[in-house]
Amino acid sequence: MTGPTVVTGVPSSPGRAYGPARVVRSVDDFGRMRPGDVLVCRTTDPAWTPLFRLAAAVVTETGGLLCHAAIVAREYRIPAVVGAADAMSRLDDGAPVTVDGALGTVTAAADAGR
Amino acid sequence: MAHRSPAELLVLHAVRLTGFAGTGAVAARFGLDPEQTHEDLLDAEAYGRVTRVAFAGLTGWSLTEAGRRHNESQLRDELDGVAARDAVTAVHDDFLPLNAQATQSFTSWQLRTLDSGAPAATGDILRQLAQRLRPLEHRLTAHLSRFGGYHRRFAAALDRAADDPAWITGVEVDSCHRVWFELHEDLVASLGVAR
Repeated sequence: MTGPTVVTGVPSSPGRAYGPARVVRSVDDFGRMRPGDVLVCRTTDPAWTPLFRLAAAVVTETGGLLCHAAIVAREYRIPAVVGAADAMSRLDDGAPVTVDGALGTVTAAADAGR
Repeated sequence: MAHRSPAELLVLHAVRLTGFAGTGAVAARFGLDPEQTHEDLLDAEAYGRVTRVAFAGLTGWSLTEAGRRHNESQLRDELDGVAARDAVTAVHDDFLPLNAQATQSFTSWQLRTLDSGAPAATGDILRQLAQRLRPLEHRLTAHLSRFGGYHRRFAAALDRAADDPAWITGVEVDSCHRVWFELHEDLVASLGVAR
């Protein structure tokens, strides 16, 4: 069960995953990432690759099918939605979301009570 | 005569390029002495430029935002000191169309693999890119020796991919994608431009 779609973007790595959104603004925030979190960020580069090991899914504000986040997410076989405008402001840190990497949607969890 | 970068720059830049790595891997990136690198990393940690992070059972070094800024300022001073900004900018300009081909090729390869189809043309495209990479690297190492090794690593990954496809886009090995992306990161970091 999922609630309303909060953000949409480019479907970049297939699969569906559920977890708390973790809005990560820079490397200084990396310590907040926990296994099973949905990584929500502006963009990624090699420093961010280890976070994909923990993430249930990845949502980035920039990029397309060919970007670093998309390529690395497919390697880890986790869903990715990239180029999702304003994802960092629209998704609340800690709020449970479902990411569909085939549809390119991020939906609020229905039972979240938010 | 190519300029050889000082160890203080190379240690921080190795952390930047590897993204997240243990002391041994940081030292190995530019062939530095591991014990001295350990000391240099502790110094950089004291300055707040690197931080020790634990991820899913692995521990390694990452640059802080302050470290990233310091790294970019060192790279900027070095580039201007050896008057290589125009040359590196020209290489970056020539790299971008190749980068478009490379990322397209990595993506098609992954998507075909997901659909369990045969990744036919990828090997040919990557072999052509390897050939184009060699002269680009020579233009860089003519000024800064720290740019050396990308072609050798890319070609080695391509050779190994014949037996193990993980060497095309894998994240746990020094794959074609990883080497290619690292060069891209090196160019944008050196020029202080956005990707």
